[in-house]
Amino acid sequence: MNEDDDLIAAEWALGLLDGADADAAAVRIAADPALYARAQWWRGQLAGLASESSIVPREALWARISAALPVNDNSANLIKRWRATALAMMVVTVGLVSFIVIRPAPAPAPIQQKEHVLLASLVGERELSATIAFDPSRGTLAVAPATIEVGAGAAELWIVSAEGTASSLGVIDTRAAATHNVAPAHRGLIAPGTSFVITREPQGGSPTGKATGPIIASGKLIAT
Amino acid sequence: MAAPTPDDERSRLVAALQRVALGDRKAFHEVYRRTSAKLFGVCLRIFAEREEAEDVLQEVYVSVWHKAAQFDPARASPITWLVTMARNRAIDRLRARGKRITTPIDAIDEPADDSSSTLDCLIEAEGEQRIEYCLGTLPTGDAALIRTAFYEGATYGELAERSRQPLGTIKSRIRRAFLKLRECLG
Repeated sequence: MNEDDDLIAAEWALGLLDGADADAAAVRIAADPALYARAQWWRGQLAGLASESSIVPREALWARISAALPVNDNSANLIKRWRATALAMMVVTVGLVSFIVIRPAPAPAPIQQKEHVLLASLVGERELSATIAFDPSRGTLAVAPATIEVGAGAAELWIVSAEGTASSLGVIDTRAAATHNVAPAHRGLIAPGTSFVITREPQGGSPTGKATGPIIASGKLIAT
Repeated sequence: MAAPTPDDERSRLVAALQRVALGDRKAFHEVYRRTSAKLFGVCLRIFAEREEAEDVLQEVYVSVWHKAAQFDPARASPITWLVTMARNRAIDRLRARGKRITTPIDAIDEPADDSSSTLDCLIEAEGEQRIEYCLGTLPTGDAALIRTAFYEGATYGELAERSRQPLGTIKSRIRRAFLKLRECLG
């Protein structure tokens, strides 16, 4: 990695950049897996600073924390539900594929055999923002939001092409999971390694058709 | 018994976090036991008052309980994830109080010797002392800038203001420091 890129990764990892510089770095890092990996490397190294001052908290604190947990915990339910959906989609895909394979085929099905669901975790600066799953056999994209904060604005999902241009997939629900049909023109862009970003836009989405707000999360699709 | 290797420690913590995601309180206690000293250290660096640091630590762990399912071992090491969470939480709280940190940077003390390192074998787990050693090879002021950025979430602009130096100077000092760190950290 060249020095300039490495410095951007380090600056981003330590949170040194302000405003437009911070956004520009986030865009670059979102679009470049090597840079992202390097930023994570810096973050990991810097996290080591925490060991400079390990201090055992007093015993009573554990009791307090333990008591602060919900009695009947439902916290992970969204994620669990999400996982169940992803799993179900996978099962459906596998089912379809086996159906296609098992069927006494008059002609080879014009569908690629390995059409697995593709998953991406879109991560913001601090935490997971959303998980998305693309089902190539149906052309649907399921979006399960985790933490997306856009204030009074809207969260818009973009697919970033290999050339770095972003195409809008529309405004997404920041509270509840939803499934979207992906326009056939966009389906071809979606493959393992494809980047998605979420930007903060005015209500109703970007008025220009191009991302106008800051990137609040990004991630890449991986094959399941 | 042989000392646990860093990989063992890491995978134990990953496994515990994954059980926490399913609501396992015993696993949560294990995560707490293995990591609370380190995270409390971070909180105490940001909030000198012990009570406030305890409040933050409590918030951090409650949030670990709720967000454990979001931890992705493929993307970050568990301790990095936890430290990042503690650091962000503490810095957010500091900012939410509207308390702008204006302590001049040359007045920030170097950290005291860590006398409790034996309490937390995890610290050794991921080569994390390397960063301390490497910071130690930098000019003291440069190391202090990086520590301030880490512990207080200070940006270039804030560092410049607090150290009463031009922005350009601060940037080039830190960038130079990063390049030395990168060499030292390997």
